[in-house]
Amino acid sequence: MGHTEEGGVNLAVIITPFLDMAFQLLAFFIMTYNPSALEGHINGALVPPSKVATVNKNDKNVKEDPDPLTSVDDIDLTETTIVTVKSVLAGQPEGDRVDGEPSRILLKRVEDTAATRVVDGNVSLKEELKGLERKLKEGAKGAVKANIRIEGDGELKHQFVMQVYDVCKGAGYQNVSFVAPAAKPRNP
Amino acid sequence: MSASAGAEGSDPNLTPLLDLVLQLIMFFMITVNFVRVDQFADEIILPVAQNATPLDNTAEEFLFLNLNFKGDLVGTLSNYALDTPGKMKVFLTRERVELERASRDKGNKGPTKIVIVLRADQNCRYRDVWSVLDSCKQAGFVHWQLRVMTKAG
Repeated sequence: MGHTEEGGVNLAVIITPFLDMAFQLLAFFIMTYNPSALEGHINGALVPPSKVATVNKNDKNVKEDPDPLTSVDDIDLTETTIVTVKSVLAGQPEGDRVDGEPSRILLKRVEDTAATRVVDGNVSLKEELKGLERKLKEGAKGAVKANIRIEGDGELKHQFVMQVYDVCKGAGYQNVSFVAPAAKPRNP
Repeated sequence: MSASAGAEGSDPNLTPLLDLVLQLIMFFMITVNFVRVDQFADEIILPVAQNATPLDNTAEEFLFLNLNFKGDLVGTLSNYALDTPGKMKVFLTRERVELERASRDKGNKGPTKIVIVLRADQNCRYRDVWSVLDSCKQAGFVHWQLRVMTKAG
């Protein structure tokens, strides 16, 4: 505030404290800024134990699951493609693949009678995943082949299961389900 | 701009600066994402799945579980000795009951949708992931989410 030559009063807003506060707010938000858009999720649903106990292939009500992407054990296998991922055992590396990495990936499509390895021979994991994608895309052309089930070994590292999931989704399968690994075999 | 006796003084024009600062503040306020420390553990490196769906917050309640590469629950849960499936089940059941009660206290009627958010390290074993999910199932949880990164790095 100041006086004019005519005896009047100049009124001016003192913006310094306002500016200080604005800069402090800006500094706070810059420091706490955390872009988390890179994180995504995979949805799933578990069957309550009571439902598992009463599950029946003829009981259609049991299949009314809240989410199509499930870990449900009650999926009609006659219309399900099954991807089995075997892991390299501890202390038994196979070529360049070590403990926890996939040893081989097997595929059993709806029309197959048995699971077969997606790529024969000693190939890299990347090539094997590409082989899986190629075969899945061939299978995904059919309308009934919408369900796919991933059966991973218990010793498999989580990231490789996710890689297989990624390949399945990329090949056009929408209903991807996971299966609990088999119980660890006891030592004789 | 003010003038002193016989000299011409000049004040900087702060208006554009102020505009810019306020716009930046607005941007950061809109995009701010506060993270609760009990939800995340820094040591977890999530696996990459490009086809995962973006995050959504449609559930009423979330329960975050962080699983490290050894298969142990870490973060705030590391304070509990959850080393057996039985202890896990008891702990998770108690958590579920508390979350349901909290939801009812908020005025929600009907069943509460509680989602287990499993943040499993990329190097943990598939068996450990399923062990936790099985405990969740035994504790009465139905919905779960597996957190992943949609891009590497």
